Amino acid sequence: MTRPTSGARRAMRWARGAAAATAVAVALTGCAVAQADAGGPAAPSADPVEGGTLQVAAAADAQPQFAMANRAGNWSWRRLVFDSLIQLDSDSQPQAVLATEWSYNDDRTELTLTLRDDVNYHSGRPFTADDVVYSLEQVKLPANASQLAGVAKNIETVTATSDTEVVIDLAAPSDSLFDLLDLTPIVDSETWASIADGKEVIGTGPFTWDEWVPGASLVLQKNDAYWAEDGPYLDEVDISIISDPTALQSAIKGGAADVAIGMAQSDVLRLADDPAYVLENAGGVFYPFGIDVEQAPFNTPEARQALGYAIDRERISDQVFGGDAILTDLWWTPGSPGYPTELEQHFSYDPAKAQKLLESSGAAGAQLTITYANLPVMKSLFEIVQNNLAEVGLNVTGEALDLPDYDKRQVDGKIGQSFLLLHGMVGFSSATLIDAMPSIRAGNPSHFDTPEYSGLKDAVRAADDSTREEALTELSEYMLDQSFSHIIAVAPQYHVHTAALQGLQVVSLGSLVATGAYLSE
Amino acid sequence: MLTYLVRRLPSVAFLLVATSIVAFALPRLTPGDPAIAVAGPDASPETLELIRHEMGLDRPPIAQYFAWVGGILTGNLGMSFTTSRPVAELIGSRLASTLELAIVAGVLMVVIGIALGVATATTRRPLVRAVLDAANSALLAAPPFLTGLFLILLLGIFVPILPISGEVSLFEDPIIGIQYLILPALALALPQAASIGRLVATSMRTTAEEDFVDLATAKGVSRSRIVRRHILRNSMGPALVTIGLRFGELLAGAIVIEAIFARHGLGSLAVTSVQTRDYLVIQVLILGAVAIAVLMQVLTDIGVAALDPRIRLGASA
Amino acid sequence: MTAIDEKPAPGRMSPPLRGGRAGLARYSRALRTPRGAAGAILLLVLVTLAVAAPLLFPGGYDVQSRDALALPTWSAPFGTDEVGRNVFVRAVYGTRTDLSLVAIAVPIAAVVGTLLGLLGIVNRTAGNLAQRFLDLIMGFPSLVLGICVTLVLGPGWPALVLAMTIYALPAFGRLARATLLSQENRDYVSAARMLGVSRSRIMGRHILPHTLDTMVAQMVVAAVASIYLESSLSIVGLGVQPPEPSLGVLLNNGARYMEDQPFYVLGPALVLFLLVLGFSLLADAVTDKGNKA
Repeated sequence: MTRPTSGARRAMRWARGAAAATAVAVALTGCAVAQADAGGPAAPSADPVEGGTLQVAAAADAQPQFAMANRAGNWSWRRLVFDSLIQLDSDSQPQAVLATEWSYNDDRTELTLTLRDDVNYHSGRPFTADDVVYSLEQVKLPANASQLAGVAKNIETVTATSDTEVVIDLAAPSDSLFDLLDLTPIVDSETWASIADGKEVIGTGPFTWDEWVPGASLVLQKNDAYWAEDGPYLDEVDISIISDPTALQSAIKGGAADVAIGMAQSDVLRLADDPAYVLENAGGVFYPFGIDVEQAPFNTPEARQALGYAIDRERISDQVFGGDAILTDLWWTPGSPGYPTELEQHFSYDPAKAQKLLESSGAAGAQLTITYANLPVMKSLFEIVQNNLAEVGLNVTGEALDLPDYDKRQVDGKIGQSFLLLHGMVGFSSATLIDAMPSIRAGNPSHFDTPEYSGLKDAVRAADDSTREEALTELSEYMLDQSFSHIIAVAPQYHVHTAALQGLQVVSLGSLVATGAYLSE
Repeated sequence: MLTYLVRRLPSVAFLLVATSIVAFALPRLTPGDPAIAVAGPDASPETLELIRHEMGLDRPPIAQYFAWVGGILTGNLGMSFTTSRPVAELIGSRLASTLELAIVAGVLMVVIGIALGVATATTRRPLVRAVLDAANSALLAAPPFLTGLFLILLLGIFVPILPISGEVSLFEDPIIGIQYLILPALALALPQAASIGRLVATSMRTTAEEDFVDLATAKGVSRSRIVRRHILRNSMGPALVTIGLRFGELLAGAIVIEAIFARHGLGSLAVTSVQTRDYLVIQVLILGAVAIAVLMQVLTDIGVAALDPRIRLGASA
Repeated sequence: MTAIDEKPAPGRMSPPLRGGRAGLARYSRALRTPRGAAGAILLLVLVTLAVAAPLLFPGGYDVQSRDALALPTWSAPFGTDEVGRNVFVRAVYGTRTDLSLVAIAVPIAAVVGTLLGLLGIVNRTAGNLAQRFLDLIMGFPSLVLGICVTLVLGPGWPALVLAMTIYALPAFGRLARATLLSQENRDYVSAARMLGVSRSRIMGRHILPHTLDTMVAQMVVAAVASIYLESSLSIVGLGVQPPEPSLGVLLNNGARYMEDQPFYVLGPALVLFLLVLGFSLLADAVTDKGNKA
């Protein structure tokens, strides 16, 4: 073996040559670079800019057959393709959308609404009061999974008295009717039945449903015939489904997306101080820790109260939600009318007290299984909760479930001995929550059901401005004492978008409204 | 070669039948009910029964199995439960993405692997060899998802020159599409390239000691010609087999890479389908994966025999 | 991930191996090469750390605190994680978890896989059937297999061990069969047969020693692949369950905080790298690949 090898040198020369050739090719063809301009914030233009495609990155896939429900996968398109009758503003006051005027009769059992007369569906057919009747009837059907089905059941009849007038008759006055009218999309009676396959999704909204690749992408096109004067400005909305939290974060930071929906709280808060991004409040999520009251040794209120004192809510807020969670023990929207603020901090983090309560109730050192859905945020919550409970001597096992498994258990009525849940319902009124929130409504997974409980709930349901606070306080005190469900965090939810996107609104518990949205660069 | 293929047929058929049974049974053993996923957890028992009947889930499993197999043989891959779309359509819409990734990664893997192997085997300087060895070990030890994460950090965020999320089809726009493909394909290819490189280097070293190489050197043939014509060609046999194997691992690693780089390919479809208990989609994907693996085996067998006439086809069937 | 040929290298005829002391000598010689020594030392350090973890860190792997995502200090060389746990401690326990899983799954896969591969000696049809079964597993997308097994048995150790074992079977089977095929037509085997030596004795005394070398190397490869399988399952939430750590879990969680606390992912990545490196170097030394340098 004599001369130094040329083999290796040739290999290296080849590699260098290839790299050089590629660089030259790229330069010569002057080709576009796919890496978007992640540079500094553009000066936002005050006047709407016509045209452009909005890129949305969403963590959950669209579920067109559940458009009536408030589901994360539908936030990105629900209010783009469909309109509601009214829209609640930040003070919970209804604003006109498809309905222009509304008034109650004297005892609040009949609501009359006047509708617009210049609205057409995407198929060309005119919108009439019959469509409102159809949509409100649909809400009652379990197949449509609306969280407000309970509220809808209180409606006796919906009648179209003319093409532009609807009368809603209630069995009893309801404090939640406008929640219902805000959330319910007015759908197309001709195509609603076959909406599940997503081939034809017809609404009256500013964008039309163009193409859906399940699990991957959804494309919406501008509705040129939309009834509003100012909007829509965007030509197209492209929604990409990205479920991995790291990839979702990369999408907006790398410039591939203008809007990110479903980012983890800690990832969102990292962008809070960056002037290139804007955080929009999208309602929030209640995170209850529920206990099955029929299983010993946690079948006594005492043992369950112990759990409330064992959990370090502050650390949960800091470490899971970046310090942005609201520290409250109550199941109601913070700041909503009648909210009993003095009961907010009923439980404090007190492991010694928890241990004493466990001992006196005979639950010291007990086995506890905590079931939770296999999602990143639930996993983080579980890590802290199980650590807290292990500190007070309990023997904790975790059980992570996929959604179909979880759903099946819920249908069978047996989720587990204890469970971590999440309800994206911050924004609903208390009257709506007692019937809509799975953790506390009738048939809840804690199997908690007493006549006293029903009585206190009835009082809240029928309350008005003068009686609300008292009724809610009484109910809250009872529930805190019974401790079958502990709220361990209420986390505001944010959608993130680039500063260049103007005019985007976030309404009714997380849905985007893009009628007036435009890209200003 | 024809007789070889004919002889292989019965075992391949047997394998596919066995796979179809496993593919059918395994997802149905997992807890959870796809009917509930469609009906919603608030559905009444009657609604649930109706939906189960529509989905054909209330028939005895054997009947369901034969219905499915019959469908496959006539070209009907069934309907997805969760999206109410034909399975064929779902798979078709994702196929291009995975194929693009697999092919680009495959090319990178072979090219980098062989270059690495040749370089390692032919270098005379111990320092270069040590560095290449270390690089090889490093790449072997890094799983694709870790390499992918580092590439994202390095080339996507710190020095942003390549996109790190999403995809553009090569058919739509080859130049932009390739930029979206580079990082994921590289992340996938590197560990396999290291494995191929190591094999090539070893194989070449072994062949280099054969008598015919000494003869060629004695005759005065240039070193590079020896490497090219004699050593490399004779080492490619085992290398080819490994390349075939590595391609299979590539596809396996693609699932994770697709998640990290937010690509919508067959891998992410497979994972989501299992998580949502979309039986029919999963069944078809499993069957397809095994069929492709078998195809790769047959191809590599033929390829090896073509390169080395001493090996008769079917010697290790 | 493997440097092992699937077909016997053409043209290299190795004589019948002598077992016993000659085999032992071969292994100890391997340990004295630079590669072998380096690999052995690396593994020794890591295994010792893993085994001694409960003694070194008696508090366990779940000591949470309010000091989340802190950068490295002397007492926490890799910093802390998102709930304030010491990442170094978790990495050591994670290695312990991974090595334990591997120590159970890989030997079972090696034994069962090799026996399946050698089935051809006893009965030709059984041998072919076993090969088809192994082909099926081989073609099965590994992550899907892992997910299904985990869902059926419920997330946790039994599912992980089973998934890893099944995943590793085919390689051993094919290796054994390849060796079988390369040896069974050899003169010494024919001679033994003619002399009336029983089939099982042929398998045990003559063919098996040949499989041992490659089997050991393959065990290393299978160990690494199994660790990766667990990591991939962690990405979809089906690896070891919280709060138990594994290197895969740490990598996945740490990746999300790469910008705030890079050592959360870099530390475990380094440990994983050293572990795999140790295995690889040792495997190379044993199969004499390093000696050809």
